[in-house]
Amino acid sequence: MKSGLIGREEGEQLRQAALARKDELRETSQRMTALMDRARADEEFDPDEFGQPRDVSTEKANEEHAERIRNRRSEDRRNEAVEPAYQVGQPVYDFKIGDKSDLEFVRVTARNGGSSGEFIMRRQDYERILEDGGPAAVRDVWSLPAEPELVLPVNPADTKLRVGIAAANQFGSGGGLQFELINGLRRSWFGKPVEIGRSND
Amino acid sequence: MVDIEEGAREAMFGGNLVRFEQPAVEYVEDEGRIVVLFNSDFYEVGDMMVGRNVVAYGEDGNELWRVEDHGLRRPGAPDVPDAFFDIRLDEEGRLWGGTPGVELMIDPETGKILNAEPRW
Repeated sequence: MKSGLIGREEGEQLRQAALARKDELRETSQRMTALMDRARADEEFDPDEFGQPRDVSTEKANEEHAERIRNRRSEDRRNEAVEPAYQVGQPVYDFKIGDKSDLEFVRVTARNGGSSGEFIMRRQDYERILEDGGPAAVRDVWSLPAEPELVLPVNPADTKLRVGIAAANQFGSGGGLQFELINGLRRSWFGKPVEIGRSND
Repeated sequence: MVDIEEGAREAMFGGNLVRFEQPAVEYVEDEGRIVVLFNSDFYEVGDMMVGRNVVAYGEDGNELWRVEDHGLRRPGAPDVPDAFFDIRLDEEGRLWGGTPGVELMIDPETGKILNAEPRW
């Protein structure tokens, strides 16, 4: 009869799998940090095209984010703690993007989520993480509330973006390079959502 | 019964032609009210109305209310309210408007914001 408890061998397999996952996430975080370093060196974001990135303190970025989250809550929940959006100890930059950019962004969301949200990611990062571990990994690396079900292209133009590393929170380990649309959003930037995993996403 | 096409700049309400301030995106009908979402891309930069782009009309086309300023702002545009991007009636007939990161419950009688539900 099969017991509800797992055996020693199965337990060891699970432990090894968890350790491998942890290493994988650490590696992802390191890759993302390297991307940020390149951004800092202006290799990724050419100042002539995007304007000089402005260093924003992570504390300021997190406080601004927390204030927005509090303002979005009903009054009875307004004083509840807000988890940081940006990983503390990692740089956060604001930069401008023109109407012609080679950067390709996507946004992921739940089926009942909003397609016009403020947090986006580079398509290449999303595709790599999706290929590595599916929607569960995307959720984990960008600390999303649930596994994403839909993806849509986002093409911001003539606006300002904030870029930093997603912080760990109750939903995920973080480590993903995230971009935040900090000026007003435009409908025309957001493409049609499609199911994640379909060939045309 | 009103028929408003996406992108419409005007529509007939009970035999009365109503010209819209911006192109319509979508609308819902609720107990004799027609609630219209306007395309936020068409407002001038800095126009406060961009975040109040939901308007309710009566069946004869008279304007009943405009959604109130919800107070939510972007860090890079602290003076202008976030635009609404979608509207819907839920299974219980409650009116909701979606802005980035949050869905706001709107009082269908007055256009005031009643509640907020985070979304992503």
